[in-house]
Amino acid sequence: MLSFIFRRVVQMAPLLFLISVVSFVLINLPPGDYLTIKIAELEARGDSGAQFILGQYRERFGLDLPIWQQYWIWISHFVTGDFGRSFEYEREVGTLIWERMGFSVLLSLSTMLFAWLVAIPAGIFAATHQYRLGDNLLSFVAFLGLALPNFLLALLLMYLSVVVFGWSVGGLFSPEYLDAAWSPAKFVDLLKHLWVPVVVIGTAGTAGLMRLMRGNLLDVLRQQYVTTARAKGLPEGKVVYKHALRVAINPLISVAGTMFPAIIAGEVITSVVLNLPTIGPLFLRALQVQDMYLAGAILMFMSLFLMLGNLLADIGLALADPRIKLS
Amino acid sequence: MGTMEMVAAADGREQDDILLHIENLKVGFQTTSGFVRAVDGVDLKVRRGRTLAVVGESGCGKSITARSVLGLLPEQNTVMSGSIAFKSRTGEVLDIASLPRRGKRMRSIRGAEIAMIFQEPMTSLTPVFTVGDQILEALRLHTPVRGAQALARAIELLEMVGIPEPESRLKAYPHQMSGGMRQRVMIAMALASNPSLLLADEPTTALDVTVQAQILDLMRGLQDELGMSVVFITHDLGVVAEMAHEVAVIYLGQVVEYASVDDLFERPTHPYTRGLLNSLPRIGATERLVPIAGSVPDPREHRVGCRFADRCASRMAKCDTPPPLIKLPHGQDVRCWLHENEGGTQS
Ligand SMILES: Nc1ncnc2c1ncn2[C@@H]1O[C@H](COP(=O)(O)OP(=O)(O)O)[C@@H](O)[C@H]1O
Ligand code: SF4
Ligand SMILES: [Mg+2]
Repeated sequence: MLSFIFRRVVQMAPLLFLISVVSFVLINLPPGDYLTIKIAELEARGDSGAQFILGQYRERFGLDLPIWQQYWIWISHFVTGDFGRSFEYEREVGTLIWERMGFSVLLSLSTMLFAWLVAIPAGIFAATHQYRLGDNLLSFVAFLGLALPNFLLALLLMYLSVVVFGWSVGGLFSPEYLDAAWSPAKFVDLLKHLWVPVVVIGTAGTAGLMRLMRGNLLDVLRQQYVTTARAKGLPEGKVVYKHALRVAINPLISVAGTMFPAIIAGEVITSVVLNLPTIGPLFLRALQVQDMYLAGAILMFMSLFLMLGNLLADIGLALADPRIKLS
Repeated sequence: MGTMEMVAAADGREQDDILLHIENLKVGFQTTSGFVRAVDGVDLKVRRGRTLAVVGESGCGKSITARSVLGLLPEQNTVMSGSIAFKSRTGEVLDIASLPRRGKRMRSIRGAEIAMIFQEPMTSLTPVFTVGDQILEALRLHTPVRGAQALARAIELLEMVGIPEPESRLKAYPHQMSGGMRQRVMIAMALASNPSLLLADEPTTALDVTVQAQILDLMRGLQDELGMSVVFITHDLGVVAEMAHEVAVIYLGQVVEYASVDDLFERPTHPYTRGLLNSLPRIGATERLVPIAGSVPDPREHRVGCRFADRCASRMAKCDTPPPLIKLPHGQDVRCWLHENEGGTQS
């Protein structure tokens, strides 16, 4: 097991290298660069320091050098934890990401928890009541969940939150708690805001997971060993929850590995609509204005999450299913 | 003692002797392509300590009959009628057919008094639990042994079914074992509670010939040793000769002939049984095998008269009326008009 993990981690290095090259090239591809625009802007404002700042950037990132050298400067700093500087925000990329990463991770984990807590029981119920009213109803809801665009759902829930509950929406905190220190009241306030994006981002995934759970369980319930378990005299609950579910849930573990980074990447629109202090809007903006070091760093982190997620899922699957050998 | 009394006494003894009595069992499935009469009035008697072979071509309703006995039919779209009388350990005679299939009473029989093994040893065990876990689960369900005692009993069971190094095999997962070994595990698990009846649904069909012979030997030995009754389902008459005391031949959901194994091979009576025997390869035989003409018809078709009629060479006008099961004087039952006048009673 340990040697497997070690090998997989080592294998990540060349892959990350490849991703870094591709992202760097892609981000540099569009014509024009942010810095020129920025300088023009600063000079127009009569900022005398403009040339000085430009000089600083040039020197730090080697912007006059050929692109492969620029890449080298970027990546060699990257691995030491120096992710570069954002032109747009005029701040270090590391600090910018760090400020928002916590909320992104919180949002992703909450969304996954929500998706699993809803999807698994719903999927089990649907499978054990196949083609009956409950199953059909759940299928309909799942279909709606998959079909409804996120922004629409976001607006709907915002309306609900404001009109029905009288809670402020948008962002993750009410204005009075924004800069306050952590307290139980602030946490409650966070939860009041968090549920909206969690439901919005999680609905499609929950619907998908539910369908997957239902399908897997139905497949497994047809297997001979389920009949064996019944023929043994086990109560139906144990047949389903012990014998069938233990097998049927394994494919969902694989899905979990890709879900976490997918949520971080997929929250963009929702976060823009809901004005959330997460990575998504930051990434979108960085791509729009060619804030290349910021965009590059976020891309790298998302790739890393994806790989780590897959690794964790593989480990989880191997632990759950004795037929799977890690090699 | 008068003759009448003697007959009554013999009848009484026979009644005592009967562990399972299936009467007029009918099972049908409502499907999108029509109603499937999988079992259409099956009668079977299983006597204590004996092996009854149930023989018939694939699709004739053998598995469905066996599953009915444990209430293991699919819950949806299934229509079932008839009675399945089982003499429980408590002495009472239960009609299994009328028990709620998810109820406690049904479960107290499943695996405890009646155990079952299946045709597909490769998929019969849950892949994510060890062999030991699955045997211990059966022990916990039906016996009072726990802890170290249970472990010892599990090892003993594996030894009984001829699994080498039983202690280490307990920790093995099913996928680490061959089909033959898995079927042995299934047998061990079935025997965990000392059932009085073992339903074996084509337990060797999926195995290769040498392994098949080993499993048959094992089952015969265990039946002698433990004195349980066995319903041995097979499509292979060759296996019947080795395993059974009595034989029921099934065609399209009905018993067409019932006889002791000797009678059946000496005096096959129903045209279908004769056909099956003729298509059996025999050592030293020079004549070519004669397969039965035609194939098993679609069970969805509604048919009047004898169900074997369209494959039967002896068909006559009368065969358009369904023949009853005719009891021949020497204790053989046959469902065929050819034997109508050979005495005996009809049912
Ligand atoms: N769940 C089901 N739905 C519809 N038809 C079924 C179902 N199960 C079995 N059958 C049909 O019932 C008949 C008897 O099946 P079975 O008892 O499995 O035959 P076998 O004698 O080979 O064991 C077959 O024609 C089969 O296709
Ligand atoms: S009843 Fe008639 S058709 Fe049926 S097996 Fe006998 S002879 Fe053949
Ligand atoms: Mg079968």
